[in-house]
Amino acid sequence: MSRARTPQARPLPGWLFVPAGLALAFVALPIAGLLTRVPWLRLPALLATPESVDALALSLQTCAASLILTIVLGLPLALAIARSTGPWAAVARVLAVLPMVLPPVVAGLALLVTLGRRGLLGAHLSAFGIEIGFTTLAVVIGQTFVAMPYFVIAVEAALRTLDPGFEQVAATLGASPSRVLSRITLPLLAPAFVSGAAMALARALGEFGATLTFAGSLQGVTQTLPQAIYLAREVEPDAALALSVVLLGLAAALMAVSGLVNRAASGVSDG
Amino acid sequence: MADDVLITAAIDARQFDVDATLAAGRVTAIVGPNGSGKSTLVGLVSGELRPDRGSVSLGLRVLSDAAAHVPTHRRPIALLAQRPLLFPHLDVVDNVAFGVRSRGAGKAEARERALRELDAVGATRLASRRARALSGGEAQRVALARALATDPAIVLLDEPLASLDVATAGAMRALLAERLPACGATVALVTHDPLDIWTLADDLVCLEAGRLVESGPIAEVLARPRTGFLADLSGVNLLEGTADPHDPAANGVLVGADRVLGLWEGPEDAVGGQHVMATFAPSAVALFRTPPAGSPRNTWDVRVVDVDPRGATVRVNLTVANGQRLSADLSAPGAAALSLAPGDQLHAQVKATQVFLYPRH
Repeated sequence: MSRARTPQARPLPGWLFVPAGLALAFVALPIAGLLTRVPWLRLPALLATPESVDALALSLQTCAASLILTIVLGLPLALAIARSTGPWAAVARVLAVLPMVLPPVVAGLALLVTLGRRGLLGAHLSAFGIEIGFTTLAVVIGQTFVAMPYFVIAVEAALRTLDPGFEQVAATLGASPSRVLSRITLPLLAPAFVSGAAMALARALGEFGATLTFAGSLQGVTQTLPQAIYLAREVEPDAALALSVVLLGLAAALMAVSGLVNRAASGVSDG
Repeated sequence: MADDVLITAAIDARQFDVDATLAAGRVTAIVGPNGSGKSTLVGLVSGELRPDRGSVSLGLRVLSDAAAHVPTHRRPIALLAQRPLLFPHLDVVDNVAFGVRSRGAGKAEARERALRELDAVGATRLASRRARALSGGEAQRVALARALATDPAIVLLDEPLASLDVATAGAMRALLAERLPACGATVALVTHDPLDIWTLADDLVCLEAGRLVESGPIAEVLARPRTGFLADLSGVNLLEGTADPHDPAANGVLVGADRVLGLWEGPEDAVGGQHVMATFAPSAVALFRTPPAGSPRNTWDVRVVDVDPRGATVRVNLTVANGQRLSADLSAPGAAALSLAPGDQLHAQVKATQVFLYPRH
């Protein structure tokens, strides 16, 4: 098979670059504005305060936990809904991505009235002495709830465009469904897996509304980076800016990873 | 050691109902027009499809029937499709070892087997290359090695040369001609190419609209084609008619109002009114603007459908009075002298000694 050539770039009308430039400036200016106000020299000191250290540590721990949960639960979900047909699969597909478009505060409220102390399930768990609301676990649940769809949607889309011939030929070579999944399907999905995980992790890092509603903002227990920034904003704006830079850096790094993986992957798919 | 593959299966949703046998250790070409059920037949043997009624079996072992269905990965099969479908994340030797590993061999054993198979297809030097770094022809060679490395009892070839260019396809065809008999498997070869059939296959199964219309050894089936599709495949003209009620051997076949004389190959006691086929080569057909002088020849009124130049010869597609198609191959100067155009009315002439007549069955 001949390798697809890079298509010749089609010339665009010149005027188009004016609104395009405006759009870029619209995004870039606030970020530049943020960076100009950051007290760079005091940055180490601002990030070393107990509040900052606690928030940073909690964010990293909870995001690592929610990423694991996202993958462990989201991967089977993505596989199942990508390979299922019929009305129930369509419903499952909508449900799986719903948290992505749900206002975070609504997501938090939904979690609270379900898993909170007097919630639908929470009331029964309370009877056994298990409290979820306003704990670190609540933070992880909230982050997973809002972030998992980003992972599921990326993996599911990749599964749908995956050439079914590879799996078919693997089966004729004697590979059981489990072996096809682990040796063929998942390796071929690796780029989507990484970029979906990066998106989900970025979303979990930035999670604010659902966490605040469902988990509160207790330093060292439920106060993640975004909440620490929100609280410090009035009291100590410089600390808020310092923490913001950390989040901005993490988010940019994750998007760069996702972009690199996708670029490498587009070299794979035409083989 | 090889076994017959017996397919007696119906799938209602595909209007497929076929009773066919792939003979043990032989290569059976599966032919037929698009949508005739070739892929369905392959899917039934590979286990991707399950029959609504009937069964698929390998010798005495039932692969699919009403009670049981052996899944694809537990069938002793190998599939080589139009596209090589090498796993892009593995190198060549790991691609070939994949099936051997899947069937339980250890890592070193699988690798050793893979290298032996790569050697057999002349691809040893590609062993450590990434699968996606290969050309189309190289990839298809490696895909063949991967298919045969598992020592399959059944090999399914689904148009394995269709996506290769002419030169590469020729080399790959030669490789298949060498490797298929050597592997000892029962082989099904789906193809549209007469060259594949003549060089690779022993037997032929012809499907049309989900039914078996003809099967048997290649030479028999193509020498006396009994369907228009098979006549096209063997490159001859086929006219269908009824034997003359009085003496078919002497008086020939009636195709509409036209009479076709030829060499009678049927039984001596041919019955008048019987359904009879007449075949002759396109090169045996001569065309005239004015009615040619009489001789013991077939002369029919024909109409030009189209004219198709093919290098030194020109293929003229025609219809006889009752609408059946035939073709004439003329030399380019001969065709130019006639200045043919679609719709022209001509007279076609064929020597009776170049026409073969035989009953349809």
